[in-house]
Amino acid sequence: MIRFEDVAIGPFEGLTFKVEAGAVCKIVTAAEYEKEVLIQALAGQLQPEKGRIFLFEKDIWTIPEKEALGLFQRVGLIFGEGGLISNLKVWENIALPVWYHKGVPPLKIEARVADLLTRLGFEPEGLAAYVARLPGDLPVHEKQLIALVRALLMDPELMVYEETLKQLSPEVSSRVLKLAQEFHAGSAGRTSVYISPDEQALQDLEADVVLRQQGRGMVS
Amino acid sequence: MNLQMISTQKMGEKTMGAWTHTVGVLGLLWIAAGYLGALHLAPVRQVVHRQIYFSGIEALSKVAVIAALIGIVIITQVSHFVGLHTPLLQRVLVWTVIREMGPLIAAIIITARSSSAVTSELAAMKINGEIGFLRSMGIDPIGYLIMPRILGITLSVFFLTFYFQFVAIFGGLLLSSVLIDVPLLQQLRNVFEVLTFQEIGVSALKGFIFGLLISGASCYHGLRVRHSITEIPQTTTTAVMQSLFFIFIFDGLITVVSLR
Repeated sequence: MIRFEDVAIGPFEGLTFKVEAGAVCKIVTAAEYEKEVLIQALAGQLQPEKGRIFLFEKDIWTIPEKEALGLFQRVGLIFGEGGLISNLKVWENIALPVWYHKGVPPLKIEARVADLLTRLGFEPEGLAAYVARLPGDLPVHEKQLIALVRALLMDPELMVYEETLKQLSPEVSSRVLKLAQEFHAGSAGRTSVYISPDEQALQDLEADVVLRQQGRGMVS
Repeated sequence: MNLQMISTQKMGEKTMGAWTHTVGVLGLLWIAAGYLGALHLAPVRQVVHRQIYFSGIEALSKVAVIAALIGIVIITQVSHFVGLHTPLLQRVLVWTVIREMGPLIAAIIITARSSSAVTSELAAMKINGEIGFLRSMGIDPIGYLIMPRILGITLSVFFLTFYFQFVAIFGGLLLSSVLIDVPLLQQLRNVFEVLTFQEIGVSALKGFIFGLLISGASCYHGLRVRHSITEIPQTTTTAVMQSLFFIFIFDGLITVVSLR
């Protein structure tokens, strides 16, 4: 599912690891910067100086751009800052990928979005007004929740969570974890990767694989 | 290095910079043209509609006021020199408005309103990493952000050009029909006698090319920023200035070629 082969990128040198399909994986980096580099590498935003990064067994830097975009459709990335588009309203942000890739118009996902947001702790009464806001009006942790809903709607094979659980209250954190675990168990072969420099933040998470940064590489 | 050498070097760098930007803008237009197929996607069409709304529809009232005033000014100026009772009055109105003022003023208004807005919006998106976020969702930023903006602005300039011409001529004729005894219908007939398909074609071509160049320059400079928020005002100014240069250079070229 994910494979890093002798990758030199930012602070990492000779970074080699593999996450198998269907696994729940925790990656604990040494600090924020290393986490940023790793997530950007996975998102195809930072090109390695050396080595190869594979997603779904395809080297994301050697395949044609169209094919790479096709791979990213199969990945749900929950960035630490949310990764929302600032000039689109919340509902437009949520609907964008599923409307763009699957042709499902926003009206048809309304009920599912309302259900997911309610499960994440949003009050059902205020949802219409809430989703009409721009991302700039929202606190960071709410942007992450919106990004989570957006990613879940795409039904991705690989979910990557960047510190999603860290900035949340314990109650919301447990709701997110429950939703993420349900999603993971919902279909065979779904892979979930949690990346954080703070191992404490991921303590409630049961993982098949734990990778920890050691020096400029990663050990399991 | 003496002062003369420094200024010569700076001039050389600026010329190279302008050339690089021109090639960059034309290259971006070429790449964006390859993404027209993305128009079958509803979210992409939504971006086009929004751009037309912001650049075209929201500019209608301002363009109408400016066009009517320009029509009135032309009639007042020309009648001062050639008198009121001559068909030359309508001819000059048509020549100036259709051949020059329509495409030029529509393009300048769009540059002032939309070029700066699009450049700063794209630049802010790039600095905030939003273009990367789109890509990480499998959405091609050129197909979703750039092509629809280029198309929306180009269509807006194209149609605003004709809208401007209509309002300016009608405004001018309305004033002259108040000043002189010749009825409005008679004056309109004079206008249509002067108007040729070539003039309309050249005007349409100008509107289309100006639209492409303004939108291309706006998007290109928006995407050119790298790291800092302080680059946004700089790149916005460059985009506006380059759009204006493009407009006047291509206006001159098309006018010279079409009148030969």
